[in-house]
Amino acid sequence: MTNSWVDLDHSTLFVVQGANPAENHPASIGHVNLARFDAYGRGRNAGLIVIDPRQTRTARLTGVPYVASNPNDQRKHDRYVRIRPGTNIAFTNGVMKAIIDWMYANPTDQKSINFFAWHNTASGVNAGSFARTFIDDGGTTRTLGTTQLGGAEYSFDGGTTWVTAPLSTGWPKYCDSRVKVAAPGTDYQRATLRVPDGSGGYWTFSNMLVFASDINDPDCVFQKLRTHLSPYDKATVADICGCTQDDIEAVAQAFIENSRFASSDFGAATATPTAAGYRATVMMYAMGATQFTTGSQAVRTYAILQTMMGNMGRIGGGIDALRGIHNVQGSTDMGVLFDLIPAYSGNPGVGKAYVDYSNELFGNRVVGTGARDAYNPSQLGLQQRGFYNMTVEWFGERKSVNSRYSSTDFEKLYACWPKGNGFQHTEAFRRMDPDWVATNGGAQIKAAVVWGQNPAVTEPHQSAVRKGLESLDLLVVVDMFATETAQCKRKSDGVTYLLPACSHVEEAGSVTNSGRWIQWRDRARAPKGNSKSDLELLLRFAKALHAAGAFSHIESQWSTMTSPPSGNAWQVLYAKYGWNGTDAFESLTGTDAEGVTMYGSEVVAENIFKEMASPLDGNNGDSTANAGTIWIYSGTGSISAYNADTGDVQPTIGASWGAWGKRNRAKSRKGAPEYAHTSMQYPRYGWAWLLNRRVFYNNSEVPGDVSDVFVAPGIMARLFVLNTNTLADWSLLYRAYNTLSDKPDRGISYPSNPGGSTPHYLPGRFPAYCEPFESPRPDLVSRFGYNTANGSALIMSDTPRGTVADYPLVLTTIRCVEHFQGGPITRNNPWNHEAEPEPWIEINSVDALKYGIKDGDYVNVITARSNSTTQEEGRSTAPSGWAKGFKARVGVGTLANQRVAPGVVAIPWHWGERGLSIGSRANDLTIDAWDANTRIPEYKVCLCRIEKA
Amino acid sequence: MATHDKEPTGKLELSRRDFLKAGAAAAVVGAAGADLVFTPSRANAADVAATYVTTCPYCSAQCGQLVDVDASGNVLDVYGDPNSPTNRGGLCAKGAGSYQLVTNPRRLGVPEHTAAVDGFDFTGRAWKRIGNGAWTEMSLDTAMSEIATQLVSIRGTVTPGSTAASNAKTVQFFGSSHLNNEANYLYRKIIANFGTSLVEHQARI
Repeated sequence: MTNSWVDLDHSTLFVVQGANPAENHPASIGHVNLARFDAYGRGRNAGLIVIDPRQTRTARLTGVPYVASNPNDQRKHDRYVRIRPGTNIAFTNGVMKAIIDWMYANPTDQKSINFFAWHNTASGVNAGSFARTFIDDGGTTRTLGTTQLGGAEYSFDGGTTWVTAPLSTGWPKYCDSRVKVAAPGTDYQRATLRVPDGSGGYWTFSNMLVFASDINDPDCVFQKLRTHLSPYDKATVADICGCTQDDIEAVAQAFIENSRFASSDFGAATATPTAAGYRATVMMYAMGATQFTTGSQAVRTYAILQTMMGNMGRIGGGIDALRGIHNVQGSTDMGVLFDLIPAYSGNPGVGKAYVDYSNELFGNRVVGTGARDAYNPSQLGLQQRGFYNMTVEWFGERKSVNSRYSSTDFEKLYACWPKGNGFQHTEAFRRMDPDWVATNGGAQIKAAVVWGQNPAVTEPHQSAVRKGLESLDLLVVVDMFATETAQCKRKSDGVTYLLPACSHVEEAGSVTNSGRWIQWRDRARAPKGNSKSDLELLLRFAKALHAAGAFSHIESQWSTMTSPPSGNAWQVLYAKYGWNGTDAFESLTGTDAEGVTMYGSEVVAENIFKEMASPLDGNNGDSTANAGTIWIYSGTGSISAYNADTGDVQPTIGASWGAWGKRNRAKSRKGAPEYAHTSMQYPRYGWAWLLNRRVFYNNSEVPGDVSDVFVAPGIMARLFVLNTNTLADWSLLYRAYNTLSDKPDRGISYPSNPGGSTPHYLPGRFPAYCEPFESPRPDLVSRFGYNTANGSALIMSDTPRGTVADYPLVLTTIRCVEHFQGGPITRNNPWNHEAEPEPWIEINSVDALKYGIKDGDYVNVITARSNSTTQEEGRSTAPSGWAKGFKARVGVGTLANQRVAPGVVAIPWHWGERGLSIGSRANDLTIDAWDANTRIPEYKVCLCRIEKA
Repeated sequence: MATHDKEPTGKLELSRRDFLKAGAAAAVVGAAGADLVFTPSRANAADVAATYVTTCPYCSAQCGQLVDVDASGNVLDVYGDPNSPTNRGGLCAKGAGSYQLVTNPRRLGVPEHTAAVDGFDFTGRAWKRIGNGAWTEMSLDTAMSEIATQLVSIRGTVTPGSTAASNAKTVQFFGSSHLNNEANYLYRKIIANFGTSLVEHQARI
């Protein structure tokens, strides 16, 4: 989320596209309703638009009565728009095109005037008087304000001739709509910029972006985007999505009337979110946007649309990813993924020396002219410094600031990082299967440790997963229940271990919600019975690994150091967290920063939180406090207490600890509505990364705020992304550009051949529509194609793929409020089981009549992955026994059921054959094609057929 | 009372009707604005020795929860925290049911577990099975020791290097969004120390 759950109170339009928060994030609907029914008495009511293949419980909240005489009652925009699964990009591109067309068609409308003024950087609208800071060619940090920009010049020939750079109106404040794109469309145009240094000379910046004087320039990002959107006219989009052209126009109008350009505070220095005339749209999405081969580009359409409409960085605006599991934000922050280490640093790459790796992280230039010393943490910034600190804490011994490692010794620690990435999960399960490895080559995975996950239910294309799990020599499962994964079918000599974890109230620690709020959990009691906290199990695991020699390579490194750590790997790397390896874990005691006694896991959690979240430069000579490793969780400032500086709160709201709450800010619980209707929003309730910011990309709009480091280039949001990794070493904070890999397999002919067979123009740079990997529309496949990752396939060659001839219906997977994900933590609870005892199938009444199906009938749903005619061992659809495909009852009033469209089948994916509540497993059916960037599987759409059982 | 959280039908048990009402309120919200309805603890006030603050273990709204515990450490109720700006004391069907997650007799390692649940009595400390055979109970340290020895054997030798350190590709780790930040941080560290970057979790699902 760029904003937060409570910020929904301030929105004037909710666009829910690919989420069902009424069932899956119910607390959010309380805030939606506060805004819709004007609980704050502001004289305005928020509209609700739900765009979804299924008329969900969220969709059924639309269409309430509204007061037509009140211009601030936005409920008139309420609408449910049904689209075909997998067509989000087409729909949103169509909305963007309709918006831009409207802006050009209505040039005298104030909203259109505001729109163009904002994108053109008209004075006082999008410029601001603030300066930007860059690093010049000499490596010196320079601030470029009004004075310097007045004399700014570009050179396109390496400094021979100079022309006036159109920057005198200031830097574009938010987005790159005015930046020029180079001819091949792979990068921005680049030139050397020079500005007067105030004493007769110049500061020069090579490789700087080229700005157009306004967005009418045919080379600028805005016009490139407009061209890219040209094929997405309403008729084309309505055909792709199965919606009406009115749907597209109505959603576009709702956006126009609920954007920055329609807001009563347009152009003002300060946002006024409580005014009746305030306008801000928030887009809410979840797996209904992401679980596609084009998922990340779909989210990018939302980001582009919201940036284009000025809704980013706005109270009540933003794009809100309604993430899944309670701590999925935190687990992602901790880099528990094949391509990451904590705090969004990538794995150090093969062939990547430390200084080169560091040079690409957020921070300071450590390679080249004017470079800082990569081995001196005081010269590093943000992500760089966190990585330095983490390398020390993970592979070496904590040092006080004044006795850092020599560069030679630090290199010994850096050498301990495994280099390169692991395998995405779909491939990982294939690599457990010796037959697959024999065919495809590469590594054979022989052991797996599954800690708190149930892949035997949640992975797509389960027959491949089952074969992988079965083939492992060693499988270790840590869970609260004996899950499907723990009890999966195994080869005769395969060994399985099962270890008991505890519940959420029995272990202390911090968790991070979807709005990036870090909140502490108390330990209400010791883990029950023989169950253990994750922290105890992990430390015992580390101790056992040490005893087995797993860390001997690290100790070997130490033996070559001039100033090695003192002690063995267990002592140096793990005992520091507070458990000595022999005492009873739950009998540990300690005191926190406020003097409160802590027990068991609280002691260890506090020590680890301290290691993560202390200021990056924080120990100040205090050898018991360390410098923080997770830069996004860390504060700034040199103080001996950890995580305790209030100077980074934007704006500063009080310096004393009493005012703040707790020194461990995750423990702060000041829930009174102070600042509730400003961008700060409950600043003393938990702590939000980054810099306690509750509204992200709030780019100096709020007095006292600072620019977001995530906004780039040169601190500016991007409508356009590059397809190469470019080091922006002229930028103060942003190092390497993000790239996206999407490349449709149908080639590019637009705009040289408008109306031609391939409508793509700058795909990847801007979102391009592609069909799902199993598509009911071969005609659209031949025009728009399937997605690839720069040409690489997004599916295993051995995954069965069905055609519409054999599988005429579209299958989508869904969730319900009573159960959760793979199910072990709800399907074992009697109440949840009673409320929703078994899976069901949703079909349209048209299809029900066609197939002769009545409400309550058992139906089999079959895909190319579940078409076995013989019983597949290890799969079960209990209680009805083995069945072909997914067998369940058709529910909710078939004869009148319009919840899904004709031709669409929806099934819930929580069930498996273990636990109190058992039933067919949706992921026996799903396809394991994956997104080109995130590699999330395309769970949300494939082809199926149905048979009355 | 001390036996409360061992008895699924104890006297303080949240009634089924209350539970379903909570679920219905969350899922089928009405047209009135107030859907974040605080439902107080079902525990007898006299039994409550301490109240702790936690967050809901289900979705990423991470609603505030309070936990009432008696003098013996038994959990009496898990209910919405009215101080939380996110949920103001309200909980959905899952959140309201999380009390049963804590007190669930089907949990591994709890004394209430019986063979009737999973075909095996998982009241012990750690379990092992060969192939699809019966589970055998063992001590946690023995299990950890056996696991570690086998993992190191399967992994083989690890070679550090400034640009080309080895990355063991034979052992796959799966982490979890159900773990707290500190546990995830520690898990990721152990994996890096073990010499591999083969790790994934639900964020990619």
